[in-house]
Amino acid sequence: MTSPSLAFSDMTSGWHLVRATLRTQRGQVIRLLGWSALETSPSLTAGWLLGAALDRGFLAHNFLTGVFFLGIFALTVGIGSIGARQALPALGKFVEELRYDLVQQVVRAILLRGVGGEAIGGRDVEAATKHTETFRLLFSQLLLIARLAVFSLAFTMIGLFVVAPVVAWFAVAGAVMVIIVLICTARGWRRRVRESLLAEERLSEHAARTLGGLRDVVALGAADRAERDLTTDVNRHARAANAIGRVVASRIVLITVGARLPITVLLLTAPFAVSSDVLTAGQLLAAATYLIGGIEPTLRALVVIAGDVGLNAGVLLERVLFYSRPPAASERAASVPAPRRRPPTSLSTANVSRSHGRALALRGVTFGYSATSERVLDGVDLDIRPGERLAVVGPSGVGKSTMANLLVGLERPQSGTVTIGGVDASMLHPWTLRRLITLLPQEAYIFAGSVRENLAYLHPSATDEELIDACRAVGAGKLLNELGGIDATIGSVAQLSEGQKQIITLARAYATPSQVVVLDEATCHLHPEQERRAEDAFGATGRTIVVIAHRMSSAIRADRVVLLHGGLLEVGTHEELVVRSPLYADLVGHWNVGHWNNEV
Amino acid sequence: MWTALRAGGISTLLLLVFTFLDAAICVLVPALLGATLNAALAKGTGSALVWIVVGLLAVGIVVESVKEVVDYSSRYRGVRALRLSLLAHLLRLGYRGQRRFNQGDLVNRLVDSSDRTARVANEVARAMTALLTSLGGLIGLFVIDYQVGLAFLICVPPIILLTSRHIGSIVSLSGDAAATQGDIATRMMDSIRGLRTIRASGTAKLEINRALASSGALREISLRIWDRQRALVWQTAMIAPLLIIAVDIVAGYRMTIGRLNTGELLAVSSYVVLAIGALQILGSAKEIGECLAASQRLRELFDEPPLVSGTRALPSGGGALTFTAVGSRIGDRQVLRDITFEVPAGHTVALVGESGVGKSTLTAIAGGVLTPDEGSVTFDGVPIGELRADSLRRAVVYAFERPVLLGESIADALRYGDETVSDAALRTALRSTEADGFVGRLPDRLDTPVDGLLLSGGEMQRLGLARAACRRARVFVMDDALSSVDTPTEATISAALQHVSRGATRLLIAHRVSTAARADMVVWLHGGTIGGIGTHRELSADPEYRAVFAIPGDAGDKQPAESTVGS
Repeated sequence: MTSPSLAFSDMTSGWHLVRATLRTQRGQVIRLLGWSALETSPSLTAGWLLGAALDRGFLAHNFLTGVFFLGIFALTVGIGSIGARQALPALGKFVEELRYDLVQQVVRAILLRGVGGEAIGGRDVEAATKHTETFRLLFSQLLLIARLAVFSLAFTMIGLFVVAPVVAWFAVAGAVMVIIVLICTARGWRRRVRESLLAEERLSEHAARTLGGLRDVVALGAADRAERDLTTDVNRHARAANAIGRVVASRIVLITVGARLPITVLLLTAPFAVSSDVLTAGQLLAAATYLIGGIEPTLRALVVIAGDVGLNAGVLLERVLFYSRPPAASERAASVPAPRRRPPTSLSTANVSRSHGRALALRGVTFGYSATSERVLDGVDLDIRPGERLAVVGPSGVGKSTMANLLVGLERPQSGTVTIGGVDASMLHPWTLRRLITLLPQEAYIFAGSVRENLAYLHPSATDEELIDACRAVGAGKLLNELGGIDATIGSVAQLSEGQKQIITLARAYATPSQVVVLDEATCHLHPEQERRAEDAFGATGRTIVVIAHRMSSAIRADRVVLLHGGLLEVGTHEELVVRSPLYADLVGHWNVGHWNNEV
Repeated sequence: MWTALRAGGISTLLLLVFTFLDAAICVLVPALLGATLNAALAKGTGSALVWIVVGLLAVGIVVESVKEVVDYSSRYRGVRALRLSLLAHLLRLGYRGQRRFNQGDLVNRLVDSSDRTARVANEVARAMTALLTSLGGLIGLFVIDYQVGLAFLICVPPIILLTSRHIGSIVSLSGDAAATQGDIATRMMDSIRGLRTIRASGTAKLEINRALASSGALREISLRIWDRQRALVWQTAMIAPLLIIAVDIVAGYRMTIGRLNTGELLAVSSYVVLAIGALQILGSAKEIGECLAASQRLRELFDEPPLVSGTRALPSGGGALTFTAVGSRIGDRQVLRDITFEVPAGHTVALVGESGVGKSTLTAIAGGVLTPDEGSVTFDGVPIGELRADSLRRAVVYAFERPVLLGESIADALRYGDETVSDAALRTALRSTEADGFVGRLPDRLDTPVDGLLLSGGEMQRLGLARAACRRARVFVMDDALSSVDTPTEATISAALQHVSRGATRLLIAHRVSTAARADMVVWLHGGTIGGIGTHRELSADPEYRAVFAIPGDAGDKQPAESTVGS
């Protein structure tokens, strides 16, 4: 399991994902900037027009002139709204392309990691869907507000310079101060937001562990202990989150001082400016309008954007990036047959001939999940003959599925070799291996799509006749009719029972040309009679079948039985093992068998 | 809602006070600014009014920053209080809570719903700001000039109409987008369930394409949403300033006839902006609704009754249990009914029955971690509900088929919940469960961290057993606790445990014939109640009893050959 601290430590800025989309969407971005400038253009002349309306119109008792200037103002607003109308589609297109790219990347990366053997789950799916959606929302807000704030700040400043240059210089000083404060405090703020997020992830993780073991906590009478541990995490998060509030508050002081500096200057100097005829009443009003209605709100918007929205979007992007990481080259991933060790091209399917391809062998195979844990297999040898029906039995949790994984090449032994048709399986190209052996796991994989797609999943070139024959052979004919034939669509996987899913996957495996089939409890949800029919159908084709037995009846039907326990294999027929192995006798319910035979 | 507001304590109170102050200053400033402007225009130098305004602006800065501090502390104080009380409650729910809510759901409610709920104070403050300032703005307009105020009121309805008209269609499209997104999530979850198939058949690329099939449609729907937003955005971008201009024209007219001065015009412009702010309440109302929905999710948890602790101390005894007419339900489903039997002190009793018949439920009731819905259980003669919970927990210990190891290191995990366990007891327990071997091979032995430990099912089970065996208890419940261990080892461990537990009462869930055969007595659960009580040999006469152990040649082959697939 990857701890969130690691998740954060190897995180770089996620914005390079945005940059990639920025490059492909350059046209949209330029269009967006152009229209945004038009959209904010009314703020350039707003103050000046209002001042003019006052000086030449209303104060000069010339109402219509005043209305004329305000009319021009209204006209600029109308023109600005054209900008708004055109800017939005460009903005939307950019944001949606970005989200599309992100979803593509993160879904691909997550599934590849899953296939590479990493544990993936609900949190990953959440990253691919919920995180990208929230990021899209935040990022649209960011763009919507930021571009307007930047342009209108610039326009207002220009307007202010025309009306009252002295005050304008103070406004510039104030704005520069705000931006400097923003830049200087960004790092500290970001660190605190991250700390708080980390504290919350830690709480989630510990809570998940404890609440997942709620039964153990209760049964051990350990509620106090668990509560104590989790209280520490809750408190740590509360402290970290509160610390953000203090940073935000101290910033607000600095920023508001910067924004209100010019208005204070204007107020203090106004009497002199008016008395010495530097400013008219209208100009004073214009300057005040630029300052109160333009500069202060845009500076605040910038802070909210750069701070709250931008920061959260950045942190989210980091999370998405974290989930978009490629599969780690870990020990487990290395056990997946990756074409790193390029096999000789001559070893194709042709070399592992049809008849030999049906024989499997384990030679001195050792496997354990870590260096210190007990070995699942401890130097075992096993020959599986061509066309044989072999059952693998053993107590639950002893490693039967691991053995299945080793046989089909999903895990590689730490020492020893698995051979197929006499060829070392690790030397075969994964593609070749998959054509030779088919694994059917217990969790039947059915997906929303047509019945045909589902049936031909492992052998896309199969004809409809072949698929229908396969269904009939394994006993899925009735189900095929119920579903509405091969062209029918499976809308929701939930509409099928586990047994129905298993029988479809059995037909799917039957339709492949592979000569070895490993059934890892693949019939556990079927009725015993259906199970027998399916196993017999595979047997009748002359394929080699390895059944990881769910029911002991599978062992009784098998040619030979392998009992797995303590890392070792005991091999023999059912009758031999009942006599020879007390564990086997126990597993098949023949323990004390003598007593029963006497009594019943 | 009051619970949620109260959770923030003093911080929430301060937040509301400072929200009020902040709004008051926001409303006062324009009027004062206008007056100052007028004073300046009247060429009166050095007016005291300037200093009052500058002072008010300064106070405003302080109020705003304090408001921000209490905004955070109110939220997180609330989150903390909610989480702590929820934790205390959850950890005392017993089995019932774990059955009703899955782990992910509980974590989600503990972490996310608490946060959402606590945010109600912030949203209320935000709505209060919008309401107070817009009301103040409106009053300001009317105080300055009632005609200007009326002009504003006339212009408001079209704005509201415009906004609400667009929002409807955006909401329905957002629903489509969410559904498409759900589609991607479903496909991914499908693939995750089928990972082993995908790995074994090398179809990763196919899966990626399938999962991403809807991402194009998602882009199209989202672009349509932008299209709708476009109309909303450009129309409001135009209408809000036009409203201000309209009001300004009326104000200008009043000015021309000498009823309004320059300072008042400045104030009017500010008040119009403040007054429009009321529209933000629409957004706040939605947020508050979501906060209340989250608090409902918390309420559901708090409504679950916790296990009640009795007051009596443990009586002397060896762990005798009696069950009288015990019944248990999960929701509306009756799991167990009319269970009556006795377990004499020091006896080993095996519970036998098909999976899902209620064996684990019965063992939970036996140790008092689940309260029966009907009937009663006594422990050494005392009704189990009257015993103090902590003494009862010490007297009955459990080992599970899939134990969850909690705590920091292995030693800590074994002592979890009982720090009094001695090192010697720990070592004995590990030896008797044959766990000393693999623990000895771990890098830091008993001090190896539990987090990231890779153990096989059998190893985990033996640690779970050791965790139970190191405690001194009267009743030892083994919930299929040795299923992954082979028969000879199981026999050895059982004998060693018998020795360690020094004749404690043992209640076992048995899936194997050998376990049932070794027990002093077998309780066979069948169809939700007792199918028979006796020794394994006695019960073996019944073919239905034998069918539990999946013995071939019995129940399995009696079924009709042609039956529909699945269940």
